[in-house]
Amino acid sequence: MKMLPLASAVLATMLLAACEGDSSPFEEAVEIRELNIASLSVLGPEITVDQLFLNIGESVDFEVQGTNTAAQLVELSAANRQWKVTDSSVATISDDGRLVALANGDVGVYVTIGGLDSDVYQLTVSDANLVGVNSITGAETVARCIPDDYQATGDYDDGTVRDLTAVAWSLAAADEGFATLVSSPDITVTLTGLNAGGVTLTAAVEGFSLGYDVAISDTLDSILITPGSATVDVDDTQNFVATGLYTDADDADTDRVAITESVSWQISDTDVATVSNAQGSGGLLTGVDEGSATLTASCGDLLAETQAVISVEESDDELAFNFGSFYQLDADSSGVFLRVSPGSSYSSSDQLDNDDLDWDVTTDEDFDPIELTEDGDNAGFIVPNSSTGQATVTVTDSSGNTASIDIEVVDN
Amino acid sequence: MRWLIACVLAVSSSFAVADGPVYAELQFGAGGVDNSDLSFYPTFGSVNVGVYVLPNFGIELFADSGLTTDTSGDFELEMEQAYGIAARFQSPPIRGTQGYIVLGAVNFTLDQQASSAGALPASSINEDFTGARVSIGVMQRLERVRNMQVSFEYRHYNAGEPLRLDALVLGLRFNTP
Repeated sequence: MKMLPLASAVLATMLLAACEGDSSPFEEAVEIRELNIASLSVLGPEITVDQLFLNIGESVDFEVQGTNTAAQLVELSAANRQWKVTDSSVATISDDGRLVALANGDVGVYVTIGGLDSDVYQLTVSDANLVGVNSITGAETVARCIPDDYQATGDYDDGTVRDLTAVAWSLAAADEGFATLVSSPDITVTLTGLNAGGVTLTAAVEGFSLGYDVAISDTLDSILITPGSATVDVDDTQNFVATGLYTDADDADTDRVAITESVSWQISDTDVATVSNAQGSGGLLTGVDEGSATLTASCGDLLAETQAVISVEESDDELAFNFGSFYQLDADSSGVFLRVSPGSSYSSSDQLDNDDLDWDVTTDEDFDPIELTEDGDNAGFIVPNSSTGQATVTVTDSSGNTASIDIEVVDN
Repeated sequence: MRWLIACVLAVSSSFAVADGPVYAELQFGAGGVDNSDLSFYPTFGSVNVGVYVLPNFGIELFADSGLTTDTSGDFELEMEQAYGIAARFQSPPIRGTQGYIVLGAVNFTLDQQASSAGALPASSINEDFTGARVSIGVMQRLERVRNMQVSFEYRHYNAGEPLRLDALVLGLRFNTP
């Protein structure tokens, strides 16, 4: 019985033994092999200067990206990875790729996934103070309603030039009718010219400031709203698209540019319908009550109008497309399926079999901007045809009901 | 009460008569490692040395060493080594057969290699794990060889990780007289 304390101690040790070890590299090895990843790259924050400099205490987030054997980039999660730094006295990094600068010096960042090491991202920790705004980079001339991004760099007392993050961007009071500014969470500000003229963009930080003159060219000839008119049920929505027609002084050709998100949308009667100006849903009209209203898209003093008729009626002998009556197709896209259901608005639960419908495409252009598959499993699939322009797709069901959708191919 | 005394005497006599307090065991194991949707079956050898500190309760040291690797997909995996300490609980013998449970703390190493294939680079992962080892098995005393038993057990290594390691193990055990 003398051994009982020893036995108890051994059992207690075993019970208290902490689990250690990380099996994730084994799983990651399988993951990257299945993705055919040949190499890994560390992505740092967006910078406009040659190298990233940090002050002590600053932190930055790193991402990782793979390149597969077909030389295609593959997005990988940065979370729960084996992130490493070459000098842990200069910086530390978490499993999620967040680096914190600890002391002055050069340090490399890399990540190991499934036994595969990434390239090394070099940065320098140098505790320094800002002594002035060095420069603002971005286009000197912009077209109306085509947004452009600007960044500012600063001079530091250790002789380095770094991107500035906490910048207060502004326009002179007299310039505010000519352009708008939207600051991004990163180092950029987006300027959208509204009226032809010139504005001065100012970057201010820690008591230092610098101005930058931006000319706004007068190349925007007109704005086209599509569809030209629409009937929308109450509480249903319809996407309207604004296309800018631009003519360069040196080029007689007209360029079509989608400017839906940068024009200002207005509706003449908000009791009939509302329209969104929010980023990502600009031009989205929602029916409120029966009636009619005029929809306007403007860029500064240039307006375009269209009539939106709001209706509460719904008919059984109608067909509706999944994209309403208009769809804008990127010329570089691989194509999209059109779907159809009975009724005045599309319902995926009532979707008809595309193979049972008759499909037709018409265009006024010299060259068909889209190709349409008319039968088989891919019926209703449209692909851009290396040309911008407009076409109309018409579908007819076995009862003779028809619906049309305008397709505009644009070069975004 | 008579039954209780009889049981105590039976246990005491089997301990006193059968074997001495020290034992050693040679084992051969086939592991099963599940990683993602791949399964590997490497083999390993094991040596255990222990001492009974109470009737049917022993403390033992063990060490495993990989014998063969196994290949699945593009990968080759070996259970490189393991070592640790464990407590053995075994039943009284019935016609020379005993059941047992072994609970232990273990450190084990897995090695996974992927060879290069075309543009895909080779990769190598060698990771140590610390955790618990649990075995449950049966032993049968050999009639013609004194103080020797054969054993068969199921073993599970657990380091609190999704990667799972189990094994089936055959053993030959020598008890001091």
